[in-house]
Amino acid sequence: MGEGAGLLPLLVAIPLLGAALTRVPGVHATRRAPDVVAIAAAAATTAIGAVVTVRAAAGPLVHHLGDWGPVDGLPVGIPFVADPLAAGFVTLTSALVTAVFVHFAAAGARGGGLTHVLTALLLAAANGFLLAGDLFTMFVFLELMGITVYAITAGKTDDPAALPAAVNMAVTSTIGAVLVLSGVGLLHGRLGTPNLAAAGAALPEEAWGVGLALAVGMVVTGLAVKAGLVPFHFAHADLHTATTVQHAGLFGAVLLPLALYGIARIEVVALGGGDDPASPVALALLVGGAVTAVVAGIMSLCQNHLKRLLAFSSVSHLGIAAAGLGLAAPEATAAVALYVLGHAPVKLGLLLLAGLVLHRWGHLQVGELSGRGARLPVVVALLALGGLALAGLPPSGLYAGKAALSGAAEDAGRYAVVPVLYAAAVLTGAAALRHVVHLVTGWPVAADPHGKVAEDHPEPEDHQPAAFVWLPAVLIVAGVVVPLLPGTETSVARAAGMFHDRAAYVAAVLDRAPPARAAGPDAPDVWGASSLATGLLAGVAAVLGGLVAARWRGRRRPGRLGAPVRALRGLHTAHVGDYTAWLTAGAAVLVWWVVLSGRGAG
Amino acid sequence: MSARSRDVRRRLLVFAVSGAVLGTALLAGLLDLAPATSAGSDLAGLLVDAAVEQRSPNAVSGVLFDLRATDTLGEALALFAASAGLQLVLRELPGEGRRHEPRRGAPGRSVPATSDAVRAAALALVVPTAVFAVYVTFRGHLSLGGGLQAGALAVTALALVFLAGRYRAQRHFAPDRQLDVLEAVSLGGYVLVGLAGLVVAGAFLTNVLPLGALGELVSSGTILALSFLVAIEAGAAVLLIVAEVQEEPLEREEPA
Repeated sequence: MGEGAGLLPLLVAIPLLGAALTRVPGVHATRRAPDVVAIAAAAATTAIGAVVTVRAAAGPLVHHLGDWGPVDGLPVGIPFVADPLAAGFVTLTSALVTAVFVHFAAAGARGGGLTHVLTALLLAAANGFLLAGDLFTMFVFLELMGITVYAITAGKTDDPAALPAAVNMAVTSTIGAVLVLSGVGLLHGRLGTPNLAAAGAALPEEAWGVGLALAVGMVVTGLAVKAGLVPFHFAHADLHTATTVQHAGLFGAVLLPLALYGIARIEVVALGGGDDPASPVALALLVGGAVTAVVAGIMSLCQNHLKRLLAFSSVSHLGIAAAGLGLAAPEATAAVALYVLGHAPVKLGLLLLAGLVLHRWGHLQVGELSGRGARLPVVVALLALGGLALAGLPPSGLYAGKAALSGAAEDAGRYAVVPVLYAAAVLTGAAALRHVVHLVTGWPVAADPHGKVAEDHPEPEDHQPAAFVWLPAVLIVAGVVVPLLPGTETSVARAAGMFHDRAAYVAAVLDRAPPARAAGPDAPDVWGASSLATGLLAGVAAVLGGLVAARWRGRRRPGRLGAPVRALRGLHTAHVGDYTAWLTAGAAVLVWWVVLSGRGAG
Repeated sequence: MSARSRDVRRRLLVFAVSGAVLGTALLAGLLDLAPATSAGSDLAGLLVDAAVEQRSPNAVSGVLFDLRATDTLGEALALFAASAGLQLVLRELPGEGRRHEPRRGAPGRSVPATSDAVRAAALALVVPTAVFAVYVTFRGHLSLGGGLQAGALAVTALALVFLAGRYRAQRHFAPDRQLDVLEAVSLGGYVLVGLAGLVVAGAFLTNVLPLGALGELVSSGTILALSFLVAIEAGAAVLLIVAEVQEEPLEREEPA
C-alpha cells in the first residue's frame, strides 16, 4: 500500500456525492446549481486522479475497501488498485466529463438536473470499474454504467430514434452482461475467489480444461460486446447516433476503450497471457480488432449523417486499439495508451462540433449542409483539423500512437497489421474530410435510402454561446499536440511496463514481498523519418479520399456502390432481432475459439 | 414471399445455428466444471469467520454490508440510476399537459370496479406488511433479512394501499418530492458512512461504529446502519418507479 492509496475511494465517492446533492430538490430546482455542483465534483475528481497518477508511478497503489486486507495471503474483501495506466485513464475520463459538464452549462441539459445526476453516476461507475481489483466489482460498475447509458439516451424524448436505440442497446448489452456474470460466476465457483490477483495465482498455468476455458471465453465475449467489436457493434453505432452529442463523445472517447481495458487487465493479471501473443484472448483481440477497424471504417465513409459517421469512426478506432492490445507486448500497450490519449479529446471535440452544427442549422445530413461552410469557417477549419487528426497526420496523438503501434507490430513479426491500421485510419479521416469538402464546395449529395436516420430538428438559433466553439477547439488541439508535450512518450511507456508487471500487481494486492521491478519498455520513437513520411502520406491519402468520395460518391446513386458494401450496409437494419442474432453468432465463434485454443484443451 | 418474412427467416436461421453452437460450448464446459465447489475452501471459512467477527450472525449481511459493502453500494446505485432514468424518460415536456388523476381507462370504456373482497384483503394486509418491513429492516444483521428485502416489502405495503383503491392515499403517504430527498439522503448517507471509515480508520467503508454484543438489536456497527440506508434507498427508488409509471397517462394530451 503506497502513499496516497487513501485517495482512491474519493475518485468514486466525490462524483456520487455530487449526484446525491444534485438530486435534492432545493438544488435541482435552481437553474445554475446542478451545473456548479457537477463541474465542481468532476473537476475535483480530475485533480485527485492526476495526483494518484503521479503517486502510482512508484508502484501500484492498493486500497483495501472496508480495511479488509488479505488474511494469510487470501483476499477477503475488495481492493481498489491504481497503477499509472488505470489512474491515467481515470484522470482522462474525469477530465472529459468535466468538459461535458461545462458544455451542459452553456447548452442547457435536458430534464432539470437528472442528466447531471446520471452523468455523474456514469463517471463514478467508470472510475470504480477502472480501479476494481475484483471481477464481480468490475461487473457491478460495468452494469451501473450500462443503466446510465440507456437512461440518458432514452431520455432524449424529442428524437424518435432515441428510444429504439436505447432499447436495442439495453437488450444486446444485457446479453453481454449475462455472459460476463455467468463467466465470473463459473470462475468463482472453480477458483473460490473473484479477486483478480488471487484468480491469477490460482489459475493453473498448464491446463485450463474446457470448463475454465468456457468461463474465460464468456467473460471476454461479454466485455467484447460492451466494447462493440464486430459483430457486436450494431447497437453501439445506433446508440452513438441517437444519443446527445456530449454523451456520444464520451461513449466513443472513453467508454468503448474502457471495456477493452477490462479485457486487457483480466488477460494480464488473471490469465497471465499479457506477454504471450499466441494466447487465445490476444489472437481474438488481434483478429477481431483488425476486422472491426476496417469494417467500421468502410461504414464510416458511407455515412451521410455527421453523427453516424463519427459513431462508426469511434468503433473503427476502437478496433485499432483492440488489435494493438492483441499484440500482447508492453510496447504495444504503450502505443495503444498513446492512441487513446490522442483519440479521446479529438472525438469528444468533433461530437461537440456536430452539436454546434445542429444548433445553428438544425441538420446533420450532409446533403442539407452542403455549401454552407462559408458561414461557419471556424467549424469547417476545426472539422478539417479533426479529420486530419483521425487520419493520423503528424503530430496528432493518433499519429504517434499509430507510429508506435506499427513499430510494435513489426517487432512482433505481425507485419499484416500495419497496412490495416493505416487503411482504417485513412478511411475514417476521409469520411470526416468528405463532409468538409461538401460544406466548402456545395457539391450535391445523391439521395440515399440507406442513409436515413431519424433526426431531431431543434429550431436553428443564431445566438451561440462562446463555449460551443472554444471547448471543441481546445479538445481537438489537445488531441493534436499531446505527443509534443515533453515526457508523454516516456510516461506512457513506463505506465505500460507497470501494467504488464503481473508479479508486482499480485504482490501489492495480496500483501506479498514486492518482486524486483521488471524493466519497462523503451519510450516509443515516433519521430523517425519513415514514420513521419507514412503519417504525412496517410494525411494526403485521407484528403484525396475525401475529395474523391465527395465528387464521385456524391453524384452516383447509392445503387452504384459495390455489392459487398451494399450488403454490409444492409446488415445494419436497426432491428433488435437481427442484432441479437449476429451477437449470438459472434459469441459462438469467440467462446468456441477460446475453448478450443485454451491451454489444456489440446 | 414478402421481404419481411424473409428477414424473419434469415434472423431465425442465424440465431438457431449459432445458438446451437454456443449451447454446445456451454454444455461441454458446465459438464467439465460440475464437480467443482468452493464451499469448503480456506477462503469460504475465512469469510464466515470475518462476518461473524463483525457481530453479525447472519454471514450474508456481513458479506453484503461489510466485506463487500462497495458492491452493495454499486447495486443500490443501480436502483438510484434506474429511478432517475425513468424520471428523465417520463418527465413532463414543455406544452405537454399531465393529468393529475390516473386516466379512467381508454375513452369509451369504463374501468371494472375492484371487488370488495380484494379491497378488504388488501386493506387488512397493509399494516402487517408495513410492520414486517420494519422487522426485516432491523433483523438483517441478526437473522434472515436486510435492506433490499425490507425496501421491497415497504413498497408492497404501499402497493396494497393502491390495490385497495386509494390512489390518492398512496400518493399522500409517498409524495415524489420527499421520495427524491429520501433517495438523495440515503445514497449520500451510504457514501458518508464510507467516508467516515476512511477518515477514522483509513479505509473506505470500514466498520467504525461500536460492534456491540452478538445478537443484540443494536449491534454489528455500520452493518445495521448501511442495511437501514439501503432499505430506504430501495424502497424510495422502487416507489418512485411505480409512481412514475402510474402517473404516465395512456395517451398524452395534445400539446396546446
